[in-house]
Amino acid sequence: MISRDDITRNIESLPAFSQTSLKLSHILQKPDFSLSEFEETISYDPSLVANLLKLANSSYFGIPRKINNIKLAINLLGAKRVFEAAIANELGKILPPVLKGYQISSTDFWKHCAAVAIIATNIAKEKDHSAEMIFTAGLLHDLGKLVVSTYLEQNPSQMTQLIETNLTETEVEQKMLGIDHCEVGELICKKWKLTSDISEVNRYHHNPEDTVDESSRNIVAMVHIADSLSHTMGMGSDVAELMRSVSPWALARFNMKTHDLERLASESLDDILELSEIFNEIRSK
Amino acid sequence: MSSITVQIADYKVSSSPEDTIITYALGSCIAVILYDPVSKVGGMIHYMLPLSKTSPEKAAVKPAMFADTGIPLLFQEFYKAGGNKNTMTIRVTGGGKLYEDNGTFDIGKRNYTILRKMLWKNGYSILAEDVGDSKSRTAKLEISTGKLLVKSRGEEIEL
Ligand SMILES: [Fe+2]
Ligand SMILES: [Fe+2]
Repeated sequence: MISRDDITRNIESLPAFSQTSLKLSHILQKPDFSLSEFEETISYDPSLVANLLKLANSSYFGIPRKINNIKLAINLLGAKRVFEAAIANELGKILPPVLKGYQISSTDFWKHCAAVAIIATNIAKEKDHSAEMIFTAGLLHDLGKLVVSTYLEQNPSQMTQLIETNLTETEVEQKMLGIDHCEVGELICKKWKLTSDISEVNRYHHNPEDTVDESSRNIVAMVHIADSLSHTMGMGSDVAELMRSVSPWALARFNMKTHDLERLASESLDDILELSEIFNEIRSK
Repeated sequence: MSSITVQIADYKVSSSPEDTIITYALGSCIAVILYDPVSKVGGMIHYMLPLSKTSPEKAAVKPAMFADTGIPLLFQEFYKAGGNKNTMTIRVTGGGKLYEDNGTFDIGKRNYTILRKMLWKNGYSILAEDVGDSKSRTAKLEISTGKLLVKSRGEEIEL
């Protein structure tokens, strides 16, 4: 029998999150941050530079002009956009080829994360809620699954059976392991010293109304809606598929109606597909 | 045997007996599958939303994103490839929904309703369907036989 303690110990043994990304995040948060320090930090990591340029030249991130150096990318896109591309690259690096416990390939898992990031950003834009970290939080919202997957994998038939009894994904995790990917995700965020927004998103994206940190409530609610919509669109079809609950509280908070969701879906689709493609390119190298 | 994938918001038609047309992860999207056992022409669309008025700009570039702009195109292509109205069959799958939701996310139901309306108006009927529920489906059509397999949660059924 696997225990919560085994899992929390496993988190301790996870490799560290990229120092470059962490450093970039710290530089960005300084009130008087310097672009040259930002640029210098990136340039120490040549593989990051290469992938960043690829991402910067996509139409999602980019501008209609070829960018071939990081300085230009930062100048044209802004440091925040470049940082988001760096996080995208980082997530691509830490994903295993398959998340066996959830029966999903890294390609589809990535597509899901990209979908949540893009839709959440579009919600923030449309509903006029500024949320600095929303793209990043969307990309990283399911970090807990990276660890939980290896435990679910030890008993795949139980996973499938429990889903058939109409339990939601997090309920199945709780039942099998005594902990779910949300709680594990929060622990990973703490270990990696990610910002409080990202940590709250990991912890509460399946039950946003319980968010503890008042200042994170909007971002958690938006990621929750984006997560639900991306599964509805079939972006990230894992073993639990559509077995999840939507929080009426989150929908009410942003006055989300069906036609809002349909517009978001139609506006986000091309960007999601493009970002998924770039990921495949980066990974296949 | 070659496998043709229908991406989300796209459609494909084939009359090559060695082809298989397949689409993945339908979620609330719907796949409409046309097949004519006489001419052995098959076609499939994977549309995401009911109405193109949601985004006329997107509909102009990707008409198969929406039922109202995509389905007529699928039929046109199907007839152009030799499909016959009198011998053809229509099968439908997808239209899933989130398990617990107050109805706001039930795009699957709206996708299905508009399809029924369009078919009814033009005098078509559905031969077989597997729609709804909290399931995300994959659909695979064999052109040589018309055999249609729908898979979800590891289980496969023939439609
Ligand atoms: Fe999640
Ligand atoms: Fe998710």
